[in-house]
Amino acid sequence: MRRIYLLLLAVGLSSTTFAGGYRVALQGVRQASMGLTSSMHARDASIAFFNPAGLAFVDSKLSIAVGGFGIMNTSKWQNAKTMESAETDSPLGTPVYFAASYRPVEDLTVGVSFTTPFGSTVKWPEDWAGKANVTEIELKSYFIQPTVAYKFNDWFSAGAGFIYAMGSVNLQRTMSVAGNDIGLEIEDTDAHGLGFNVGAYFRPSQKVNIGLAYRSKVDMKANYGEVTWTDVPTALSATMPFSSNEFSASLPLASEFLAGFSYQATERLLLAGEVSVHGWSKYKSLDIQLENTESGETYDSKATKNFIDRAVYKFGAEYQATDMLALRLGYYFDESPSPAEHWSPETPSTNLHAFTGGIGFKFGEGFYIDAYGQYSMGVERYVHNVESGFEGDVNTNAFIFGLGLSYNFLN
Amino acid sequence: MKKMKNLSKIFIAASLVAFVSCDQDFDEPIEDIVVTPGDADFSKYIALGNSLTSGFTDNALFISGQENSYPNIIASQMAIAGGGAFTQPLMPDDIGGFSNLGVAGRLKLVINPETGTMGPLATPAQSPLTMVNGSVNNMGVPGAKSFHLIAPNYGSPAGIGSYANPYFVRFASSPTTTVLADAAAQQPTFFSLWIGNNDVLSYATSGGTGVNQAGNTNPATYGGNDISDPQVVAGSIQAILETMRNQVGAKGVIANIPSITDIPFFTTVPYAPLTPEALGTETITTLNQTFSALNQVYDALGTPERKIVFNPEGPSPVVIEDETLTDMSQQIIQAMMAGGADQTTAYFFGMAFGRARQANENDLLLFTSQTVIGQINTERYQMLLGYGLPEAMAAQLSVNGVTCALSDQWVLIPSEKQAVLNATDAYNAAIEQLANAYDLAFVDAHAAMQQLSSQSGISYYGNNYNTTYVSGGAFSLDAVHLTGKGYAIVANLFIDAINLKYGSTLPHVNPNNYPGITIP
Repeated sequence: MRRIYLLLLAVGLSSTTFAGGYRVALQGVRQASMGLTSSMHARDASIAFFNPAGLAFVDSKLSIAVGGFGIMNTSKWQNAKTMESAETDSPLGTPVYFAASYRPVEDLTVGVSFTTPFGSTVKWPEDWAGKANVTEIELKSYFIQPTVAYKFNDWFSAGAGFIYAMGSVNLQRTMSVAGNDIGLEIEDTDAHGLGFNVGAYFRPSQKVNIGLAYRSKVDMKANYGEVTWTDVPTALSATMPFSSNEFSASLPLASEFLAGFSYQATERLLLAGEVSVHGWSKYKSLDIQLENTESGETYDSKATKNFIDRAVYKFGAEYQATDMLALRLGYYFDESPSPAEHWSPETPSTNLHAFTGGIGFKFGEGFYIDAYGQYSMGVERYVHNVESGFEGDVNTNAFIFGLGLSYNFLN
Repeated sequence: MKKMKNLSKIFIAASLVAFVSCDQDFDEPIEDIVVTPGDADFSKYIALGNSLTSGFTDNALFISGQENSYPNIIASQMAIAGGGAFTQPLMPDDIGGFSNLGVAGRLKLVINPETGTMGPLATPAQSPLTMVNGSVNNMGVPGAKSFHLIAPNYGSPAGIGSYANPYFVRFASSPTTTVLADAAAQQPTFFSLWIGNNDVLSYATSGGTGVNQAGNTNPATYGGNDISDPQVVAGSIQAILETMRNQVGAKGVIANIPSITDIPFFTTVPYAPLTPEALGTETITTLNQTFSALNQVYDALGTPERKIVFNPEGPSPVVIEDETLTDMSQQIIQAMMAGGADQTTAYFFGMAFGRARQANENDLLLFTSQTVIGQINTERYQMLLGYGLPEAMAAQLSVNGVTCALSDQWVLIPSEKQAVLNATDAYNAAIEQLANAYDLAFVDAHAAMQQLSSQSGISYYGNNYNTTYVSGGAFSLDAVHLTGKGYAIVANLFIDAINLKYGSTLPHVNPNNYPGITIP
């Protein structure tokens, strides 16, 4: 008779996650400086991302827009019950965009945009209280969107784009089994997904522009991503999940519906307002499957997210101080999609009051330089994740700056 | 238009000011929180109790375990609210045990180099019993039952091995004193009391080999593994509270006791641990052939519930001896001989399975039973060799839990379990009633342990604590006592109860920051 022994260890991977929806709505410097109003600003090709139809109203045959941003984001956490606190030391986030449009025949405009509309870079202290959730995360996405727009008449156009999305994720955390810290890093640089973008643009009078657009959800799928464990006790090294070497996961990048309106109040003053509705409710849970490719064993980690659809209200103004210089201001209110009972520090999300301001220079007939700065002021909230037990007061704030160039060839 | 331009400038300027001063603070930053004692006075805190109070962990008392005892954790939080120093009867080393008394030191988790399996292994004690000078705040005495705290001579060096306890001997002010008298003499302003666990636990961990003393109110007549009468427990606790509350005038907190059904010592080994992989499919076939003769007898005798069958497809229950069953040895012997079996075979079955049955979900196998299940019972083996059986056959008929029924000490059968649960309920009813009568903060440790042993456990910042052995994080390697993490969870329970009762604002600790179990 073989020796009978009993399994002493049943090891559980705590139910936490690696990424949340983090929309970075920075795909045009001028738009950003006017409180993110976007769907009706058809100055240059950068509107392709926001509203494909708008390309038809860009008043040049060829338009090129390019820009970049720097995001300095800080998240803070404290728990008054245990008197613990921590603060992120996140590296500079650098979203960029490039867009070009061309009008081969009258009324038909084609274009392409390259953007980084979702992403997150968060670095918490190595040994902070929430290290089992996350110590560091870097989530990137790249959207390539070929676009076509058709102008039906002087006041209406429609457009559509196809989205090919690529992405990468790197998440690091320090888990613990009975007090034995075990490092986990998952990385995939080859995630991808598909989506589309449709829109309509109205110009009922020379003073009024209206944009309506819908961008679909994009499911970013990571397959065969790399899993690296560190400091695994010998006794656990052959046990799942610590023997896993690959992971698969899917992350929904939320859909967005935009309805915007601008009004040329005076010859020099442009006012804009927009509401965007973000389909975060598709982010119900984050399921990560870890796999040991040698043995075929799998391990499922599920974290409830139950995000909520949210509307963002945006207001912007542009004052053309001189023919060359424009001054811009804006404000928007961004409500957190993450409910307090499922809040997780890899997506440190709070309600935000965002104040934007910027300047624009115009040289010659169609060369623009735009610069802007933004302060996003978080609204303190109390969170208590019922699954992970993450608890405390959290707040975030961000300082963002950006520089953009646009060139419209007026031929 | 000029005005608009100015407005813009003002707005931009205001925004820039906001950017520069963007370091937002919380409405109530923790730096500004003032921790207050409320109506309580923590200047002299005394902890009374048993091993759980002392910081006993991994089956021993040693320095680092004591440092993470729940009273020491509570005292460190009290210190923020004006609490005084908290001294503990620290052991001489970080191994524990008493080398001169044959008490082993702490368990450590090790990988057996021969089998590759992992399990706890005791470290030999390196220090003899040492005396502690002066009074101590943590008066938790490992092994103490409720009535021991008011028993004279419990700290007498001469009584070690019989009526005294070596852990109390270490810090007792005199051989004749009581734990309670030494506590009261320190004039504490605050006390905690968590006692009563051992009044049922030693019975349970002995597999119910002791006696249920319900109705016998003289603890002097109790054996070490007996269940204390609930009136004895209630009376002992009342005597302690009478002294501490009404004579000394201290405020305090009292906890009830968890159910044994929620601790890993009784939940780790399943009643059906015999997997086909462990037994071997050929062995299962042989076993079922061997037992078929006996099973026919059970059918004939009208006790089919005693039949012993091993499942080739899934795990099978162990065979246990149930002393509450009618002894059918003689009937088995007669029936088997009538069926043509030889006398030796018939006698073996009659003797071995007279009160045997397979375990079911109502039985609790003890944590320690895993060391014997599947192993050869040498007593049986030698006896069979004496009957002239060949070695191989003798061995096959001597496998613990398979062909040799597990004896009483390895399993709590339903009647034993029920006796423990009844006593626990009675103690807890008395403790809660006394908590109210003496106006004390009350910790429902029973409910908390239920939550810990539930499917969801208790989570702190992504680390889940439950009662799974080792990986659950809260229980130490002895499967009865807690880890530093577990004691931190307990400390938070006491802190909650104290804050609720006295309006103090003692902060919690984060259990994640306390030691667990070192996995090799």
